Amino acid sequence: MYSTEIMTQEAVKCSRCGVCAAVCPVFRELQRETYSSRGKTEVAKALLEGTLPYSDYTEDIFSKCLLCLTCKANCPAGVDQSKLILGVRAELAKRNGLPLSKRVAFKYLLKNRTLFGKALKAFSFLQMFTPLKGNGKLRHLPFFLSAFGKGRLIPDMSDVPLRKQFPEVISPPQGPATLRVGLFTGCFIDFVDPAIGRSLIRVLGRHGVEVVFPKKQTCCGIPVFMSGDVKDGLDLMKKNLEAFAPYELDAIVTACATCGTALKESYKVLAEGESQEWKERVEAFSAKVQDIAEFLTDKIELTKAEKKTLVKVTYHDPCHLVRGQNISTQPRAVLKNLPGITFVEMQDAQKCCGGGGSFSFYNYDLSKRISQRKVENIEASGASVVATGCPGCMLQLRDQLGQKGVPVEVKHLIQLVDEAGV
Amino acid sequence: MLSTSVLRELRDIVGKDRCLTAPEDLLVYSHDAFAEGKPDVVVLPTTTEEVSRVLRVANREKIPVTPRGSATGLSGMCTPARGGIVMAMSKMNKILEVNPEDRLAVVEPGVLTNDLQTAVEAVGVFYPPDPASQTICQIGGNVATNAGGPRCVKYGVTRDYLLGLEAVLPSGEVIKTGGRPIKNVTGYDVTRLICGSEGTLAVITKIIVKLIAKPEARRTLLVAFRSIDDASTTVSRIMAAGIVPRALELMDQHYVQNCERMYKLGLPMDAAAMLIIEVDGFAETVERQARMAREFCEAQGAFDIKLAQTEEEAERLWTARKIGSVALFRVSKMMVAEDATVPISKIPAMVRRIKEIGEKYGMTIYLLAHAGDGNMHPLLTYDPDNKEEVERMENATREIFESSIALGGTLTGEHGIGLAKKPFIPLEVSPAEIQVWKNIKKAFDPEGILNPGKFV
Repeated sequence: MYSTEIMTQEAVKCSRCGVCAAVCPVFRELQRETYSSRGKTEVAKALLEGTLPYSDYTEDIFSKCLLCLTCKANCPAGVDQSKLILGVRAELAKRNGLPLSKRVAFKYLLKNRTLFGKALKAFSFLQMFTPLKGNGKLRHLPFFLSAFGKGRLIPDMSDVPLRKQFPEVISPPQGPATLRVGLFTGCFIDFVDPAIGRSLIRVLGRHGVEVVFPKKQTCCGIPVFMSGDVKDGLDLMKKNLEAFAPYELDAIVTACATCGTALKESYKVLAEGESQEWKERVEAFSAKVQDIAEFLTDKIELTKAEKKTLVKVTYHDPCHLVRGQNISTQPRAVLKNLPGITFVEMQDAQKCCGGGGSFSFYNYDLSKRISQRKVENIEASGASVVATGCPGCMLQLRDQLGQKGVPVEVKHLIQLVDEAGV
Repeated sequence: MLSTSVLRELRDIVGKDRCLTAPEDLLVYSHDAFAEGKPDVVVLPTTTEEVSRVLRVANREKIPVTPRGSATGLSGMCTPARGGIVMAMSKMNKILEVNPEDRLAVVEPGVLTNDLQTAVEAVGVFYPPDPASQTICQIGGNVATNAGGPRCVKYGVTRDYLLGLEAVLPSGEVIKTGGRPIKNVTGYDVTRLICGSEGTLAVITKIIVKLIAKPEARRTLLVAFRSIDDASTTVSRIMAAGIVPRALELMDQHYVQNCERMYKLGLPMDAAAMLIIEVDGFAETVERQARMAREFCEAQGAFDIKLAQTEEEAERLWTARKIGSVALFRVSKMMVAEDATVPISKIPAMVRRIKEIGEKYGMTIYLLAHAGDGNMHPLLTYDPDNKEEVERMENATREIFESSIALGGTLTGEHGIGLAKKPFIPLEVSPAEIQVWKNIKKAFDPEGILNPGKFV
């Protein structure tokens, strides 16, 4: 994914000062230098120089990374460790191939949206046999499904994906359209929690925005290329660009921080090795992408309603928004102006929730340990709702808060905007 | 290479997961921020007992043991010079007790200095020593190296905040030094002997730190001068004028420009030198102290004086000062930070000498200093693959040491000898003194297993 030259450029900047290790959530828990960002940079340097061979341990080391970008954000020498992590993972995938579960998912399921939907439905059907816990939103996976389980509370999947709930073009309910935006949903909002998508479409509709919902869109590809499978990642990227190509759009909006980072940043990196034509198409596409929080503050005038303090809401910064796209003031600006809520800041809102997408599936115990601080901070804030901008974080927070019995609801920012009626 | 039977013994003591031999592990544990040296095995103990048992094996087999904290050291103190065992203390990281009434805290060596400070400040007490790496470094490492920091100009160094230690001798025997009372003169002061011994006498497993009352408020001033002489003269005269800042830092123009490029704080790029002056105390007195400092600097020729308006502003300024040196790695392949220290009255002369040395060798020497202590931090940048640049850097370094000694100073105020300054020890210390060191070392470590190949 990144050339040896680019990776070497990053690795040589490292002065071994250790600032990255101090802020690395994985290192904080494991306290083994090899798993810290400083250690990974050292190992990557040696792999590039050829003084260290690739091994099984290499795979273990580089899989233990949330890609939360906190190291990169704090490095005084300006090292971008994410390039080293992704570069090594790509090399590992080339040499060793991917684990079976990922191979099946990436090569077949994610590319065929209908098949993916059917597989998830089958999984959803199996849920019937698992007992309901919590507030009816979560199910407890029994031991025999522990590859995804380990006591994990999984979301109750929707019966009807978002794509089946809306037409290709959704006109605003009243008046002419003032703006026309494409909607990129991502897998979570499409299949697991379409309510987020419904809120987004409603809010935009209220403000005269026509929403184009291309049905040919598919997974953004992040879990694929972040595991090192660049080839399949490229296929997904091209599918998505093709899906949006027929439409003239003012913006492409997403409510998933991770998808947003993929569309805005990762696609440009993936396109490096492609033709000039593709490079330009990706450039043009990425430039249009906006997270819903920035779209709301930039392009929409939310109605200023009278403030009635009813519910305390706090905000968790998804890594892919605060460090991936530099978006942290906009969500807070939106929340602070909503009637019916009081905004409270939690301690360390910017720290990773420990989810890391597929990280939490393959490293569940570690993921749970990392999230404990976040759970404590959410509880200490006194809020009854924690808002955020990433469905991946929502999955993690619902699981961890639910397991600890902390009565705080997890909602997407756009759902709160929708409920406020502004 | 260690024998399989010894490795088995070590694995039995700390468990397979905390006894590391993979090449990746040995690689990452062979570095500090300056040097490297590959160990044969890395152990991560979690209890004093494990430390004791490992040392017993090592002592019996005559295997070198190098204790290690966060490896932020700048002179190669925790890099093994002769292979053997690296004993990483990171997993012994519990804060055992914070006691504001007794004005002490009891911590394990792996606690990060900043974490200790946050914990004690939450209950109104204060642990002053603030090495630049405080968010990363471990308190055990601070004790082993007698770490300093900007606040030491008013409050003193790590050595001044130790009430007692628990440590393990190379034989495996566990000793307690000092204790909980604030004053204690029973026997030799072994606590302060171990402090600064760079891991050559014992492995520290518990630390009783002394705490003081937390100052109520602070004010941070940023002062710009048109000549570096004016800045250094201000430093040497300010305390005689009755102003006792809690930090008095000097930055030369090169460093200021580098900081500004990276942190964009609005620092004046045309200042020949800048001082950060911080005062603390009761809310009523800090205003007066800040005013006195301002007036004094104006009288010394300062052309621009700014007061940090918010806590965030002050914090950003300190981040720039503390971590900014690492930003030099954006412009240079390698950077070495020296820390020759001179008496206060000799500060202007030493600053001038450093500038002369830079000119003589055609090098840009970035100058930082805990000016209030006379602790210079000349930062030398060079390309380690360029023989000429390396030679130039080595010559300049030698002249810096020689100048410091000639002015009645020392080779190192904070960073320690490690490997970096080993060749220069005879410049400062006589054979008789070195023999005393060797005798002390022999008394603690007859087999010579702890961190061999360093200053003693």
